[in-house]
Amino acid sequence: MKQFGKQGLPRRALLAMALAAINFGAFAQHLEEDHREFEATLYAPYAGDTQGSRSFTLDFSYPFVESAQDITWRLELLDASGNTVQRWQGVERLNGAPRKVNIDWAARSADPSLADGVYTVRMVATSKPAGSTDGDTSAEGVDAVLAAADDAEEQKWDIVLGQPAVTSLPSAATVAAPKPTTSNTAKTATTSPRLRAAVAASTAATSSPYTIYFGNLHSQTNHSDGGGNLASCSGAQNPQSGTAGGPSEAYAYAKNRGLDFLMASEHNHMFDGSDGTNTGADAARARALYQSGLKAAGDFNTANPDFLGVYGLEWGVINNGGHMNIFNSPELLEWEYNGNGDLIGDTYTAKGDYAALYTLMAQRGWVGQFNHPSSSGQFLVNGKALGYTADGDTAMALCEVLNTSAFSINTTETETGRSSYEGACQKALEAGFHVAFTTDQDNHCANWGASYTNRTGILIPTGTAFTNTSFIDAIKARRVFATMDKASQLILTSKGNGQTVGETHMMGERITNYGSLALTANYSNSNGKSASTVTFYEGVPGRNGTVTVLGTGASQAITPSLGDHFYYAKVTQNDGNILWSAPIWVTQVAGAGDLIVPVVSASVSGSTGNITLSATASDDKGVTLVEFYVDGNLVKGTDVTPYMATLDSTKLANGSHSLVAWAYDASNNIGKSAPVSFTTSNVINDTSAPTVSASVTGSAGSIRLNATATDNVGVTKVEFYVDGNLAGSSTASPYSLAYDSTKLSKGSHSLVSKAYDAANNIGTSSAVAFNVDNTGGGTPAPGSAHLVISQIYGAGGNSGASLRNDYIEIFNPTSAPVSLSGLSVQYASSTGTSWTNNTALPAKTLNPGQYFLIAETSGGANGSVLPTADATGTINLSGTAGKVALVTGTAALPATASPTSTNVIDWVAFGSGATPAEGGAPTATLSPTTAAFRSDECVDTNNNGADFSVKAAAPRNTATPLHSCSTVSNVTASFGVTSVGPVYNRATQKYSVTYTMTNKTAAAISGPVNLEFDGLTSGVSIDNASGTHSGAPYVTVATGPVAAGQTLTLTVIFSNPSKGQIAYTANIFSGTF
Amino acid sequence: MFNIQKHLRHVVLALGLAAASLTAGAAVLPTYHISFANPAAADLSAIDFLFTGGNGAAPVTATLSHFTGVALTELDREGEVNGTSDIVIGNGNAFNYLFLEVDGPFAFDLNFSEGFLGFNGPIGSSSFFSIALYDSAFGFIGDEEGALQFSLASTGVALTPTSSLPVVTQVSAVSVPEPADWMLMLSGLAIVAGMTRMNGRGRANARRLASA
Repeated sequence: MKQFGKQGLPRRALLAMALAAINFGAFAQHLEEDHREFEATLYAPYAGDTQGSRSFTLDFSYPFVESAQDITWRLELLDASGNTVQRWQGVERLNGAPRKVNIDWAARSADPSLADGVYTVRMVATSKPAGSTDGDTSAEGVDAVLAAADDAEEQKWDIVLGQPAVTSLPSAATVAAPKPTTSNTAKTATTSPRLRAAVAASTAATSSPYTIYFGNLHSQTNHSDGGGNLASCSGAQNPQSGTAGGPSEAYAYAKNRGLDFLMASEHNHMFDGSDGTNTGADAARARALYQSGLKAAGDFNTANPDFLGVYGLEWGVINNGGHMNIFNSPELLEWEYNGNGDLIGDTYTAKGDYAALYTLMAQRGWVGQFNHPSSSGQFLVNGKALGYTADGDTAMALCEVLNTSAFSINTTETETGRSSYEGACQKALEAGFHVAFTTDQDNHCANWGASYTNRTGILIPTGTAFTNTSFIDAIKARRVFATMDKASQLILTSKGNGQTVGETHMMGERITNYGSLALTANYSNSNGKSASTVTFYEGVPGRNGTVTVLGTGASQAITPSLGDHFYYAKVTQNDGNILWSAPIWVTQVAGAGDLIVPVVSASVSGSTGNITLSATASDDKGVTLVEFYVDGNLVKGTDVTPYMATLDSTKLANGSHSLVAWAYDASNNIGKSAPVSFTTSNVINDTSAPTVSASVTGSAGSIRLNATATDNVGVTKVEFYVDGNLAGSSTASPYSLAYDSTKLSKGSHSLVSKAYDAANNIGTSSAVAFNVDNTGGGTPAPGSAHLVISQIYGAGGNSGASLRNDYIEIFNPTSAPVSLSGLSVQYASSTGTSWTNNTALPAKTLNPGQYFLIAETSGGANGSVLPTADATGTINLSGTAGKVALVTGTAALPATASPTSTNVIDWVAFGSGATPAEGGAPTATLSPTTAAFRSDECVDTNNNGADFSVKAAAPRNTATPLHSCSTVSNVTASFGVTSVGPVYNRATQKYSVTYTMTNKTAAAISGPVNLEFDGLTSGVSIDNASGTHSGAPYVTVATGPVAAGQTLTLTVIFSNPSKGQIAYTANIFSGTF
Repeated sequence: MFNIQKHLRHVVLALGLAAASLTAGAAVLPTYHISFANPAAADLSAIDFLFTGGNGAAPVTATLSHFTGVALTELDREGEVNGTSDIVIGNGNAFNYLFLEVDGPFAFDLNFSEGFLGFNGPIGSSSFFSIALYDSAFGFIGDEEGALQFSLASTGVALTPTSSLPVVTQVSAVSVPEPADWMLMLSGLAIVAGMTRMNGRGRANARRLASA
């Protein structure tokens, strides 16, 4: 029932589904889940008018899609060489209803020079939510959208222009012949199977070893969602509601329409009478219904010995599934249970578990067919579409390569709706499945086998009765071909071992060959049609690669490379109908002396660390080498038994992998094992923490916290801590977080970022001080937001020097402690660009107002010894002019560094001519006795010339008394304060006083504003103190500025256990303590 | 009802001519006439008065006078609490406290001395007078910070009730009460306070209440 999707859905089908949705909500919902899939189909008439003109039809549909879609499509007309003759493209808006686009091709009416021949029309289309593409309908725009789409639908068909040369092919009639037409049905209807077989043998055996039976291996009756009355049928029927009959009616119809066989392939999950699960279903009745179908087929076959009715299952669902026919299961396979807990079938099979189903089928000897397969998302094994298992290869014998519309009501064999699945079948072949092509009709309406002339042809040894047994045997032998013309046949044969005479191999066989191999496409048509093109394809089972064209023409003579191959032929008739032969599987060996290929199987043990790959291999003449291939890559070769290899699985990504072992013999014959899936799950042992640094952009309003983080494995997250509090995190590089700086008081704050890796190693950045000022036009903060260079002296120890060593002095003008960890001071000459001369700073934290002295080299024994240095380095500063930078990190600044470069905290160009300088102006030139002094170490206006003066060198270190840059001021007089209280709470036994404070000045008072309680009575404490300042508790009243006239209210809780008088002197301070 | 020894002397609070003193000077602040018409209905069993002076507050006294109704029994007093008929409570401390048992309907007048008005003291120099009410399970009727809260600032007194049980009438003129049954309750009050203090059990109960 999937079929409708692959060709345009008739408008009335949609209408019917809409009606169904109204009447049968559950049914409609199921349909939605099963059929919400973009479909794009192309109808290209094979022949045109006298000038070759014709119209191509593109049909787009997307049933049940939730939003409008834009369909971007391209149609190309290619010549035999693959060159584009003409192209069309467009974008169609799809609003629910299907959309049809007609393209008229003028052919020779427009270009008389077009040569006779076969051309290919190819359509590629993709569906994207409306508005998600720019709707560009130019060739370039469309190509770009299609190139970016990983799910584009492609359909292509050959068409003919003029009278191309007919390819002469050997007649298939010498190999096989159609079943003789029995004109007298009354006579045969009463003959026994044995008599029928005898008749068949006597009429066909003389010329052909095989008799061909033409039929349809895919249809539904009213045992599931088929059997729709032709007068009203427009889609899938409600299960068991079709009024046109069950299997008996279907067989009779098909027989009457000239088919030799018909399979009633009933959806396995609809025997409960529901698309979904009918919990009220009678399990016994469901089982009985299935058995009744088997019996109906048997009864019909007994009564009609010239026809084979096949009854079986179409197992699975479309969504995350894939439909497959099972031809010979006497058991109803189900996954649904009714409300009593009874399985609504005979045997449980897990929905969507194809690997388990394959195993069951292989054990039971059941054979199956991939129905209208999709190249992606279906028949998943280990997450892989059309994934191979050895049991699956045993069970799955057929693959539908082309179907006509599943909801066709055409009874004149002229249905134009059709879809090709050749790509998916090729994928199955390359996965390693040995499948032959079929073409079926998937009838849901009661036109069983009559919608088109397409047939699956089955070769039964002439003289063997066409029974369930011989039918299954033929399928197992893959003696099956697909033809769109019921009067045509295509049989691929080979002769090999370097000979052009001798044993002929039939398609479907798996042969061993040495030397050259001749492949022949045997074709015939009983209605005078001929072949326009014949194409041979080759591929490699288990390669999971791409099937390629081997060549064109009636036959191919090749010498295959050693190893496994498959070959199949495809014929396009001069009316556009196509035939596909079954493949022949060839294992090429080195020579006649050794036809036996080694047999090898592989296994894997372990899933972490070193895992062991093992193989068991045997050969009649001995195995010379075993190679292990993981995911197609050679890991190791060994000639030592037991064949083993050790693989460090940590070198593989965690997840599923595939092992194939190759075994060689002395003749270099190669045997390959079935692929073995294995899983690796290593714990990544990562002990290296990420490296991270932080920075801040902005100082008011929304500021940005930034981090640069690297890790040997990968950074998973970066957290930002402002003043020690987690502000947020970022998981993708560049790591960044927008932050509302109005949450912060005016002044300096600290940012630390922490970077995590998957192993939860944490790297912590150095603290970065940053300044926040949201006063907006108020007095700028006099203090600097960051550490500054406060003094530079370069003549240390030189002749006439006042001090023995060069030094650099750092100062913390901020109101917060700042760590020096990870910082460095770097030096470059006055106009130089090399910053390799630098000194890393120790992991010391500099308190607010504290100096830090870094002693550098000495030029001699002149001058006084420096005060105790807090760090020492080897920079030899110029005694007169140069540049010093305080830098985040210890890596040398780049040659292009400037005062505003990343990581530069502060920069001083000292001495005339030093460049670049902050503000473009260096300090004055130094002498042996003078240093560059930051005139006010609390001020950094980013102008070295303005900020620095040259004075007698006087180094300061961490022991030097602090020089606070605090901007705290007593603004008590600026406020009018009233109070309520002290209020005694008889329950808590605490006192509270509520202070109401009004800024009685005409100007804003910058925040934070704190109320400090000096001289508070001994024994009295404040429960909600924000901190202490100079030993006195204070409570923060406002974190931000207080506007003129603004009133603040603050309740202070006092603990006063003695209940004595609470006395204090209250002061109000503006600024951060 | 909490357990009060019956032999405790009633604190007999009587309305007297002392009311005339309220007319002395230009009274700005009102007299608060506070009455409890039906304490039993609200399970009112005790009442306390607490006056707290703030940081450098101006001296203020609260005077309780003109008691009428069923006599109250004193359970506890601390700090600047003086008197037995008219009771004067000062604010020169953070815990000036009087605690009384309620046995029936009663009423009284409350006045504050006015020296604090216009006093421009340091930050936090306000004072706070509160009356808390207790039910028989020592639960608060109204707020634990006072069923009646009087905030005293230089600009005046602000009253915030947290219970509707006390009926407060603010009168700006002296009202002369009718001689009534309160006359019967006059007795020697001088010894009452002393006996109350000496009664260990009553005091223990009082502390329990005070810290309830």
